[in-house]
Amino acid sequence: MHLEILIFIICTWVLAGLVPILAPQNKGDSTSAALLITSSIGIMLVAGAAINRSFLVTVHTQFCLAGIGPAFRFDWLCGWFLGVVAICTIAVALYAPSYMRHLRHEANARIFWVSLVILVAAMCGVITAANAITFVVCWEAMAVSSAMLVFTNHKERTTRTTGLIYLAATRISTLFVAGSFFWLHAITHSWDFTAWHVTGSLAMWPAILLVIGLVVKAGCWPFHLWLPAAHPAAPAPVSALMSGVMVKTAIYTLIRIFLVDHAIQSPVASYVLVIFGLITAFWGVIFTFLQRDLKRLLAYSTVENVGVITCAIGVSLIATQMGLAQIGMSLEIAALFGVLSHALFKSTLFLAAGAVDITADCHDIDKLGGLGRRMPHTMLCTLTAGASFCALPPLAGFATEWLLLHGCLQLALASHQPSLRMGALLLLGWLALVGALSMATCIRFIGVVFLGRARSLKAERARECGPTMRVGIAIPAVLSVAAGLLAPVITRFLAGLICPAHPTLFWTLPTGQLVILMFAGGGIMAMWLAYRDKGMPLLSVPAWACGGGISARMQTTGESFAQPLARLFGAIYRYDIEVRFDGSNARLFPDHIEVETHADATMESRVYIPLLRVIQRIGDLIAQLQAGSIHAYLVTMFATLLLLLAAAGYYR
Amino acid sequence: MSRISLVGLAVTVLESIIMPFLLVGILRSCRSRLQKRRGPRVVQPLYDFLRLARKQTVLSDETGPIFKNAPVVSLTAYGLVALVVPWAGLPAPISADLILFVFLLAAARMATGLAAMDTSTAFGGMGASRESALSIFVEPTLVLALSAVAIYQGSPWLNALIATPVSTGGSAYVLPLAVAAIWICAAAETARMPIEDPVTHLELTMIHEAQLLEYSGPRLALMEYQAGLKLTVYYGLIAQMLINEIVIKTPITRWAATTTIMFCLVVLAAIIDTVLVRLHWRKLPDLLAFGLAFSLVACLLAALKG
Amino acid sequence: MTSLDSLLGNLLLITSLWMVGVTAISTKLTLYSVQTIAVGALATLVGIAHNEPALTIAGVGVLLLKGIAAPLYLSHLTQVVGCRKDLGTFISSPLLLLLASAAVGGLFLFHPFQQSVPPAALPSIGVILAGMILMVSRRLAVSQIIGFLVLENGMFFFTVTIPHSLPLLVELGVLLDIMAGTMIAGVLVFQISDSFEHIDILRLGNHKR
Repeated sequence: MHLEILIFIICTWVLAGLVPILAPQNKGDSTSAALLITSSIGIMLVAGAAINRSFLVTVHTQFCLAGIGPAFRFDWLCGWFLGVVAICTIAVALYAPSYMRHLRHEANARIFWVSLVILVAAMCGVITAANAITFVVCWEAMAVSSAMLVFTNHKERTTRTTGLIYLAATRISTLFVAGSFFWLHAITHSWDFTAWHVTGSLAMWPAILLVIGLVVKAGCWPFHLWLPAAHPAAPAPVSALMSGVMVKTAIYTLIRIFLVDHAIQSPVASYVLVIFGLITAFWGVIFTFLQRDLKRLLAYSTVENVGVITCAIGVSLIATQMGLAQIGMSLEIAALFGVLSHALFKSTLFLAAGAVDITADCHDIDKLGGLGRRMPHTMLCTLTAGASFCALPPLAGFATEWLLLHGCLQLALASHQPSLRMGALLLLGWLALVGALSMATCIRFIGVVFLGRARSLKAERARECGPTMRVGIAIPAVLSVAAGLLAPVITRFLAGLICPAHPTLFWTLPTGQLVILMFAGGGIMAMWLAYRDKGMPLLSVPAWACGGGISARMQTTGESFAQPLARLFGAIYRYDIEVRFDGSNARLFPDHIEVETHADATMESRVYIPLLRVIQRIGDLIAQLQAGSIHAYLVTMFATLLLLLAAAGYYR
Repeated sequence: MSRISLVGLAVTVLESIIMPFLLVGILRSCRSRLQKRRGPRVVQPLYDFLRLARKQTVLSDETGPIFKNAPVVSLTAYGLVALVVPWAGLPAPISADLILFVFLLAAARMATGLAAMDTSTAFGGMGASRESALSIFVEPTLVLALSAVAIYQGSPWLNALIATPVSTGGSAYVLPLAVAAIWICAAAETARMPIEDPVTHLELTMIHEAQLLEYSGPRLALMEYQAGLKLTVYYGLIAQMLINEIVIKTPITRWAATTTIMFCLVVLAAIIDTVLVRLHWRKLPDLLAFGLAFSLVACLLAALKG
Repeated sequence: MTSLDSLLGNLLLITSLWMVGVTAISTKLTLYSVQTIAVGALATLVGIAHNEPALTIAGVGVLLLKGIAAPLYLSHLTQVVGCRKDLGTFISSPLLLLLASAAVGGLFLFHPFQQSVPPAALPSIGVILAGMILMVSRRLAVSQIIGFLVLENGMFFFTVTIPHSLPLLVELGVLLDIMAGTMIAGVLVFQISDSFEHIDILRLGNHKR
């Protein structure tokens, strides 16, 4: 039965890839989308089956790498991640056809659809791969297809540059992951994930290599720079899929190797994960706060969320190593739930950002504003997703954050080591700081884009997007509400999967009571207000603007909203604000006031650009050897020969 | 549900309706007396509420659905806060931990912040921006201080605050330091003196008030009541920590002690309002960092207990 | 006695950290005075309880001279010179406060001097640390005197917590040295303020050229 579904899924993928190639330009979009949705439903079925009972699918082929054929394992962890992939794919597939219609002059829809299908297939492959060879092949397919998608709008120069940055980042990631896998193979003489059990001092270096490789792919600090570069360039559905799911494949691998299979047991790796996670979360959120580009802002917020999830995995490992298996498990659930909730709200946010981008033709938040009136549906979805992003109860983001913070608190209570206890408490404080910052970000994002008055003509002309796009935006938003409300059930379910022997209750918050009270209290108040408004009609007057007429330019912009906090963290941003007064009486009656702010992406300007310059210089030196002079080549060869001879003589 | 908890629930609900008005009234009249003015009556806030609730709503043209519904959302969040925190000296009707408490506060903050951005005035946006800047300090301080107390009490649940401490090996400074930290948070959150001038009419110096400038009628009434409720919950929480080791005999004595201390705290707040001057906005981090440092040291002392 | 020890040790620590964050001189002096009186009282009590007259005498001396006389003198000094607040710190004071708390936290958690320092005396190391931070970070000469006095408080507390660690003679000598040092530093501050009309360390460096 499973095999039939799998074959069916592969057939739909192949069809979905072929249709846009065979159909005339831009005609196969809807068919392809429908086929992708069908295959996603199939993926969900497989996911359900895998959660129910794990099974292995081995493909016997003549040609295989390293003597190992492709093999796929389906178990509960795969099931969970496959479900996430399927949900996001459905939303994206619903959304993409109309979105691509807007881009038809700039992009080639055929390449887009083929790459999209390959990306989805490759992600499923990465998630289900049973051995390292299959994994790396799928990992590469995923990297290449997603790079193709980033290049969709390749006629623009910036897109090409950012696409190359992304490609470089994925190369580096693959290098480290493959290096770690080779190392592990050398230790265990096996490519099978299940056969790997490396502990002790042997485990340290492969673990660190693997962590670095995965962290590059996940977009952790200091390797995060491909995310804010690639996302603004890629089309919105691609950003949604990449940030919602593709980044999660790295998280999946972390959970798979370290938490579930215990393939590598290395205490160092867990501390490295926690530290990476904490810095990433903070770094991501403070840069989110300063961004003006709609999608770059969301890309930085993905950096933050990935940091929080990585941190959860690390703390879970530490707790397990300390012998506090219960707490380790609850933090593992936090990480898994975090993957789901982040995939849901981030796809909504990216898809909504894409809708704003195409209807208002503008992605500078300081030129938008007041879109809530013109796009009420998009605003509602964004608001829901934003509230989930800020971890407000009772949404999915809150469930994640609660599990994580409560786990840390329990760790602090249960451990007997003062330093571990203090560490857990500091973690709590740090995550609270990140939470507060992410809420400031969210108020800024929604407030500036959707509320108030339109700041430009383009924003005034924006209209609500088409029905299929709206459904695509709404699906993940609705699901994130549902996941938040059903958090107790889902948590218990996950606990049962992780540890079938004792599925103890981890969700100890009385969600039911709270939700009932919330709806009852809010409902009564809302009804009272509605009754009052009915009895006495609302009086609508112009807003008070100190006597003058109100104009859109009086509003707080994203830039000015960010100012107090940007000053506070000025050292990190290298934030600078310059105010100039002009006019005959500049002090009292200036004719013209100019405010200019300046901030730097410190990591890029301080580390990467100098680093690149050094590499460039080394390259220049090497290039001198290849000057085209035959004598230079001969001398080089001769010198190499001599060196080799000398080396051979020495080692003899 | 046993009889005691039923009575507790009733008392909590009743108190959360009466106390906000009473505390705000006492605060205002005390402050006026200290400044040698006669001041309003103690029950004036209640009359204000009733008056506002009967009035017609005046809305600005610029506002949308978020502005209209934000008071409901934020007051609901505060209502839940009042039900999960044992601020009245009685076990809270719903058992929850400090994380839910902090995130409910965040929900209310987000609702008011977005409503302020929805007014499309410069004041609203400035208020929202400043409030979120303050929350960067308030939220970690609150989490750290409350978790220090949780470690000290040996339980993550807020209701453990009013129970006998499980382990008494901890340092005696944990609770005072946590109280100091939460007091600073409370000052920042309830617009009290060194942080914000509660009686100012200069929009440029406001933080919380600036976000509410456009509200009127029943919605303003809800927002004002919410401000009172915030004050009540914070002071009740502080009172619990102050009497933690002194009065734990019976629920009645505990309740009485809590109420008395809450009144004392309100008088203290009035004195502080009179004595201190408002700090410059850019100097606030200097003060709020003290809250953070106090809570960090409290955490350290709590973590060292074993 | 040990519980009193740890209680006072933590009080000392908290007040010293508090001083790191404070910029007003008068607040700093008040905190310093509270702290010194507490240490002096502890020494006196320990001396009486353990029947060690030397410690008792030293405690009373610290209480009176360092706890009451020195702050009064310094506050007189600040009034005459006319400086009420630190001109500024090299790192912003909230950040400094958090860093100092972090340093003290690290000290307690990782306990680097396990061999030489008993756990009861750890707060005193923290106080010495805070005093040094106070001395290093401030630009005003008066604040540096206070920092030095806090540092000395830490050392005295250390001797109190370790029984029979210091003979009376040494302690009294140190006490007198401190007093003399404070006086001399005060006179110097007067002189500097008279000649240059400020006591800003950063600007004093300019006179070398």
